[in-house]
Amino acid sequence: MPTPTCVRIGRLRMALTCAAWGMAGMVVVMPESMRGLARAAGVAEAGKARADARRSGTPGAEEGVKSRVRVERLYLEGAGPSALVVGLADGVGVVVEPAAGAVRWVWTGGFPDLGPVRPGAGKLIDAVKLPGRVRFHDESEAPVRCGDSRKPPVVVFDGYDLQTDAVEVRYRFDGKPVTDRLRALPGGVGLERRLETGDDRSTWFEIREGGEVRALVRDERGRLVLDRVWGEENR
Amino acid sequence: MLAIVGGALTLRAGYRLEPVELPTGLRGGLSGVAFGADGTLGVTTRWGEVWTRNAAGEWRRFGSGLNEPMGLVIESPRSVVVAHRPELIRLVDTNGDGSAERYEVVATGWGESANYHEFFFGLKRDAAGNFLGALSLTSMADKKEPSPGSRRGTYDPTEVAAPTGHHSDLPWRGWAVQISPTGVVQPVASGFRQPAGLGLSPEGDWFVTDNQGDFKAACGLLHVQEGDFHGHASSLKWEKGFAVKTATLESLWPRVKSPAVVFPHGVMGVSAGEPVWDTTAGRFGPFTGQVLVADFGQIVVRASLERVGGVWQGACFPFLGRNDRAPHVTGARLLGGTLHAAFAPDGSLYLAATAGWGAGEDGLQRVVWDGTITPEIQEVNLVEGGFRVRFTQPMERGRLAETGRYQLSRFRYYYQPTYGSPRVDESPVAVQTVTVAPDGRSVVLKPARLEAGFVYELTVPELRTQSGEGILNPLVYYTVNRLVDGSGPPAGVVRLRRADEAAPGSANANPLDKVTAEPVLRAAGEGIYRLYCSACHQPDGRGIPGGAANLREDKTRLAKSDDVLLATLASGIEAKGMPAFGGILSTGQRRAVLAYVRATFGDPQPGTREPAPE
Repeated sequence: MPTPTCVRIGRLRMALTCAAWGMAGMVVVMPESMRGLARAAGVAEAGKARADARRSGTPGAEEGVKSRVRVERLYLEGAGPSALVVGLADGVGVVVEPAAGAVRWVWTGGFPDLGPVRPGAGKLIDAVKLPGRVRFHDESEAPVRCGDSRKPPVVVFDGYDLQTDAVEVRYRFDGKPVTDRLRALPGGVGLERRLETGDDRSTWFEIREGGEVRALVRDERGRLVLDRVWGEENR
Repeated sequence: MLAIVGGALTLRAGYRLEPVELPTGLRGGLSGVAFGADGTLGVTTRWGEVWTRNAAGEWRRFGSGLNEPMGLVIESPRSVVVAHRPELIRLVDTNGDGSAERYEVVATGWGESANYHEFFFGLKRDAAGNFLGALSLTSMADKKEPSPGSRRGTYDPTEVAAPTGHHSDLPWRGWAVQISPTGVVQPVASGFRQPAGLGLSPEGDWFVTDNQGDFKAACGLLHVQEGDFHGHASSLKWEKGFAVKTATLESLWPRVKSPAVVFPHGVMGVSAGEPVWDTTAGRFGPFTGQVLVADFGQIVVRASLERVGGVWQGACFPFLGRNDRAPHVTGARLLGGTLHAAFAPDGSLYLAATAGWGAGEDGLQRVVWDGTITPEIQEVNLVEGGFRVRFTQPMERGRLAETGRYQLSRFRYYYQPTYGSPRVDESPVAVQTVTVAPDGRSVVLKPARLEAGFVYELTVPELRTQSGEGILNPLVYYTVNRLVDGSGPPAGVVRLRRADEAAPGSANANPLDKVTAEPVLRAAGEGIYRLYCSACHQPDGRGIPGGAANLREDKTRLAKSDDVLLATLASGIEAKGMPAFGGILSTGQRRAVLAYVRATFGDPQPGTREPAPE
């Protein structure tokens, strides 16, 4: 369909205005009609950007919409059939196995392609493949333990909360409520992971690969610290 | 019919189908539809999203990231409970911005793997606040054993009674479950295969639709009570105290609870979805109290239920989809892929469709009654010695009283572990007497043989209303589980195959197996095509867009050799949603339908051909 003349003229006026603004750095007072055109174009562009961002799957990329982390429940081998695949800021991603209360992977490099696991790709479901660079991987049975490092806790997954720049995953470890807060460190240099254990101040442990047992320290707010930092030079 | 409405000449037909505009960003794959008490509309999508529409018509993406949800309950504009594969989960908008921030697990605890067929279907809530859902079986089409890292729950691949194409290898798959408001999961009834539709009657009775397949002769509407076994043997392994090693078809058959209403395959759909009760008090036409069932195969079935001898049973009729081009439906064409339904507060029926599993289409439609009472069979009830058939309009009494105007037959099915079942013991049944009610709106038919344990098929194409119109949908099936005196066989309309009966699909299972004359095969094939194939491939052979093949216009389909096509008929194509007819149609029946298809839609000279390139 040919573009109506009025629209072509409007666009030309806008293009000239923007070019002038860009070159001269001056404030340009536009007639009301052109301000309306600019507003309409801006709204349309923002809407398209939101739609494009949603399609891209990039977490937090929806312009004009409150930025949030992204969680998808997906099949990922080693993390269960409905793992939490979490996209945080700055391209940092985390895979949580909810039944174990465990972070299985941390990676950088964008959100995975959901094609193999979502409708439209054929009937059988394939595992998600993580893009980019894996920063952390753990397969131990119960990597976080409370009170007794030899005893895997009974973990119940209670859900999660989405925030602007973090996700809080809620569990019960041996009946004790735990909130596992996951946030990307600024610049994507690492993962901040803090476990809020409420009134429980017992010693908790992390079981690392090879069986190394590490008593977890608490931060100034009493939360257990399980951060992973890979540093700026490794981005 | 044309009518003058408000001074204007208007086409009124009965029902009008309208597309419901969906927001940009909603990617299709509608897998659930529901209304909240305040009129909020909610849908789930197989992409894991929840979208809501408020009274002002504004859509918002309420939630996302779920694992293939299949149903929802809207508690309020800020709280939606969703059935998705791993859990029953509540999404809460904690700050009032229109989308959920909190995702609370209400319940979990059943086995789950990455198998494509493992759904948690839902969702209804009863008067006590319990949620009702059902778990489907695992498909063996994905032949890999699920690795420990891809599954949750104890893995037990033991076959029960016989090998089948779908299994309950993980806990409680194939069971209907009741979940208390505090999240306690109670498995209630077993024996389901693909229980895609959950329904709650206005009186609080729980019904589920299950789908044709192994151990399932046809789709149907099943009444669910605690302790029931609905036929598929595999799920019994999770029943406390069940002796898996000694289970046989013979030992299981007496336990099978027959469907309340069987939907004979093909003509009454191919993959039943959500049943909804018409509680619109007349705003949706003359079928108040009856059940509408969405079906993936481009049909909506209507069912009327009654309790006979303490058991639910009843009738089913085509409602939308088979003849919705004229005259009683105007507007859009019914989409294929419709699996979920909900009545809106204004009395219209919303239908949610998804493309997937090799067929179907995406979209949301709305069905509105335009006030016209079209000529239909309104209801069929069992009475002493016969059936009462009630019509929506007074009928012309001359034809109404003639026994020859009623074509009655009956059949039942095998209880067998292979896919589906042929109709067995099928025979015409003479109508001995017809008693016409004084108002001409109903008749009582007394057949020569009325026996529990059969599905009775009645067609009345020759009846006319007093104004001379024919019945728009002159076909009804009544499932007789019990007679009025309460008598009936234990497993209703399914029986065991006798030792002297050839297995369906084997040689000499049907008289057609010995027939080679093409004209005879073609003539027999026409009836088989109408019954088993036309639901998907359509009477004109043009198939369903995005689904069943277009046999008439896609010349590659019938360019394949007879051997290839006969093998396809026997084995099906699971990836495309085509059933395996090897356990339903004999070799002769399959040759007959192929002969009919070639003569009607393709090359009139059937015979062995070189395989066409794939």
